[in-house]
Amino acid sequence: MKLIRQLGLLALILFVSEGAVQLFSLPIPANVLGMVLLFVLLCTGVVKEDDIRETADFFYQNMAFFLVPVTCGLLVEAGQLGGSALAFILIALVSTVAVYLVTGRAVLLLQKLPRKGARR
Amino acid sequence: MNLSALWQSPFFGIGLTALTYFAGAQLLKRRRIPFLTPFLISVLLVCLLLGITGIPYESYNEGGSLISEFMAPATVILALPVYRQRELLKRNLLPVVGGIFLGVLCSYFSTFLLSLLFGVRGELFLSLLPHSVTTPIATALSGQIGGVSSLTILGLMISGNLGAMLLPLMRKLFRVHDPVAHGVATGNCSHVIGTATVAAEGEVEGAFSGLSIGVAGLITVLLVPLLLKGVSL
Repeated sequence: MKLIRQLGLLALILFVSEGAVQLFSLPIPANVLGMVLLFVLLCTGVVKEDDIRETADFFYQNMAFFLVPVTCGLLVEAGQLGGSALAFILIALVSTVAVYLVTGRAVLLLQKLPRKGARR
Repeated sequence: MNLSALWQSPFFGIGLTALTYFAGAQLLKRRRIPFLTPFLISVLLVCLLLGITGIPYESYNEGGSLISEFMAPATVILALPVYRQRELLKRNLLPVVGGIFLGVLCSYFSTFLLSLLFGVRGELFLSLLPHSVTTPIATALSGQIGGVSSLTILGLMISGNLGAMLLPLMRKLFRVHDPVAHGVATGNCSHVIGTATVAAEGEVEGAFSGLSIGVAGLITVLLVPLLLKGVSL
């Protein structure tokens, strides 16, 4: 019963989020809004950790599984690129590495800035 | 007897995905092979099987799409790790938001410069531009600036998958040892696939990676008007 209840809660959060996005023409996707909503619900105590822990852990541990079908579909589409495929891939790759580098080092740098309270 | 309808059973798609994923996990249980994950093994095995048997992707996707529907709740539950790490988040608010913001800028500039270098222009360039944000935002943005959404998703998947594969290497090379920094950087460059990858390493990395996806998305959405102006130049 616990899993059913937790799935129901997640479904409700997503349903409300989808509704909000459509109703108010929000520029953010429903799943991101849902994440924010759940965070708020947890912080305010409306939803307790115990109310979603098992399901959350399941999805967390196995997240990549849910991405498999979409990724397979991509390889089917890859043919569209033709000759530009190599350039496309290289740009995506180098840019991704750059984003990791800049983001990671920037966080580390900003963490060293003096402010009240310890870093960790 | 028409067997082709059999392959359209959702249980074919679901079963194939689950069993190949499980096979991948079993294979990697005892030894770590660099760059390989159960996810990658599953994708390769599924594509291999579909390719060899000639079963159309659409048939597989009768079951596959049901699995894909659950990407949404999988994203929503990231709120829990973030909630559990909220003290750490409070202490690192500026570094996190600042780091993501700079990373988003880097994404657009590097994509722009590299496209210039490789002579990738027009629709292809516009489709590639949003490759560092999560799928729904990327496709929406792509549509707004004149890209092709299926190409955008392709660019996204390349970033996500290659990024995820390179994570251990990049972490070592760029000396991003702090779990918060690693998590934030992962989410920003490799979104959900990256988050799924670092989730195995710890809750801090996973939480901040998931958080990073959301924040990067929000920042991107806010920057869109500027981006549109820049693109029209």
